[in-house]
Amino acid sequence: MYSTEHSHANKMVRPYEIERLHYLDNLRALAMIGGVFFHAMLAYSPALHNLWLTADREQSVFIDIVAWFSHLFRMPLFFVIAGFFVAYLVSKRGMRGMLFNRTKRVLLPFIIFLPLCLWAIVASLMSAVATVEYKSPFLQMVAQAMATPGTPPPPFSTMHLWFLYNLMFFCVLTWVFSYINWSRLYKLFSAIKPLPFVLLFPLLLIPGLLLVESPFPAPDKLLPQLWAFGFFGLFFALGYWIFSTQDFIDRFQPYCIALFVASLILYAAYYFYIPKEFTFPSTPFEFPQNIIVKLCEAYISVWMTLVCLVAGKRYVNSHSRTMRFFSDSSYWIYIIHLPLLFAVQYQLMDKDWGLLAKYSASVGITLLIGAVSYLLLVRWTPIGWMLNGRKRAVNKTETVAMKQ
Amino acid sequence: MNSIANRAVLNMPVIKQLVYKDWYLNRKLLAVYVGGGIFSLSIISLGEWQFFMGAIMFITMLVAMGNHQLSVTMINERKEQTLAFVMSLPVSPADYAMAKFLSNMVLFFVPWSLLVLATTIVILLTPLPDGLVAFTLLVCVLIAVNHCICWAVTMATETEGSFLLVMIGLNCLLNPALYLLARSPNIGGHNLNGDVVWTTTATLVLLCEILAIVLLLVGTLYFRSRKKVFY
Repeated sequence: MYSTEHSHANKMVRPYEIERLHYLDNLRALAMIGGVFFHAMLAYSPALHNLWLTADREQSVFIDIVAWFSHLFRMPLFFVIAGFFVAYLVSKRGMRGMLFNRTKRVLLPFIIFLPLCLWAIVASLMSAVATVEYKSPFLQMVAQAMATPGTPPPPFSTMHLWFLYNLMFFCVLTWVFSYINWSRLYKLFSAIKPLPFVLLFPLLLIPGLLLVESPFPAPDKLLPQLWAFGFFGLFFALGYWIFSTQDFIDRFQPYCIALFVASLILYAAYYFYIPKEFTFPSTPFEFPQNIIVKLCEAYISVWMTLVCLVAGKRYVNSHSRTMRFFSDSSYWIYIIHLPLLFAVQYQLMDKDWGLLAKYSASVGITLLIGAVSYLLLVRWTPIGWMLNGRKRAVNKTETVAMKQ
Repeated sequence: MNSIANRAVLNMPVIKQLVYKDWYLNRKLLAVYVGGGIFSLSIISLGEWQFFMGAIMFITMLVAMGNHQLSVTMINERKEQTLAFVMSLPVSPADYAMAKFLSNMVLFFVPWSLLVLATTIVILLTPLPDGLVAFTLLVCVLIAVNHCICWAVTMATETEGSFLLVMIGLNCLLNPALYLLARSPNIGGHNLNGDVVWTTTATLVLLCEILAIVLLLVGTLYFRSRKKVFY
């Protein structure tokens, strides 16, 4: 989706830009594949046991602790990277070129794959209702609803593809806001010291977060969600501006460990307050717990996003065939992962395996099918061109330049 | 000048440039209304009163965008005397009328079509009653009729006063029209139905609206093209 394939061909792109784009490519892939791990975890989460289709008999609080921590910064990180690449596209191809590119890479896959994913999920759900013996509470509810004529259909959801839908809105808003003179604010942003930034920027996210329950859900409705603009939209804007501020990420390098430790401490408080069993509709928090939880969410999401960016620049800022494959295939794997994961987890629900075995099997099989299908059906086909752009052979000189 | 005015074939390359010029002049305006439209959509799902506020805001954005672009592309052209520049180009009044027709209609009907499509999808895929589809569609086409009336009057008179008068009058009449459609047993009477109900009355109203649009556009274009001079 954000492949920097063309940047290698572009002689105007300077080496530091190529270097930057490698780690962002890899981080984006990690955030996407992280989604597979996250969604697989939810089947074993005690908190989500009543609300998740593939909720298993095997559960662990440890799963909850890890899953909800990653939930706070995985998608924010993704939107920062998305904003960065949109800024890159605007600088390279102009606003019109950016919108055309995003329509091809984001909107088109969304329109094509959403109905297919919906169909696949409904098909596997029907089969699970008929065949699974140890049904999850939600699956039991579905079975009951199917047996009762006149039950209203569930509300429409953009499912795990919500990020594509929202991303398209952010791209359109990029064009809308491009007519505003941001020079003063940008000057302030580019001159801001790390400490004021990590203390003040999270506060901007609070209004958006106050519009929604905690932990924040996926904005998967057909109507755009205001809170998603105020939360993910701000991360997107941050990424957009980071593109023009070359040393922005480096400024946070000395604070990386401190931010990570502080995030863990805040997460302890956050985990203490969030319900240990989610309900629908959720019970709103009382004041002042509400504010504490929102502050924790905002600070952890910003701090951990910065930690990921700094760590990514330090540890995954290299180009290799494996990483390239990983980076290219991640978009496809993410798109198809949820129906696959559900289909696998339905099969595992009746097995008497341990949690770790079930979790490893569901993630392993999903990733394997995703990677193999990418190689066989996507990489060199029009689907691959749509998702990542056309592949071109990299010549020897370019390979050497990239390695250096 | 006369040879240009009497020319039988339209000067398409210049018409294209005039259309692009209008779109270019409207780009900031369009951005503001698109931003407003997205904002109004995003507040619809926040609650009951937010739903009404968002829906009204969305319709307002659409109507305002249509009227605002008419003002920028036609009234301002007169007021700021840029028409004199257009007259220096190898264009006839017919070319000019066609350019105004294309630029204004594309600027209005592209977002309008998206609105109709999005609204229909939202009604059909959310818990909103599907019976709303007929009423909503007729209201959307009515908004398009109003825009075409405004365009026709502006093209015919090219004066700010008449444009404002018609715009205000049509906006005042929109509410009674909404009321009549909502109260009609054959249209608004099915609003709370679980399924889409399309009646003969709805077909009749829709045909009348489409006929009005076609007559307004073709009629205005025809009479405007017959003019031998710009003024």
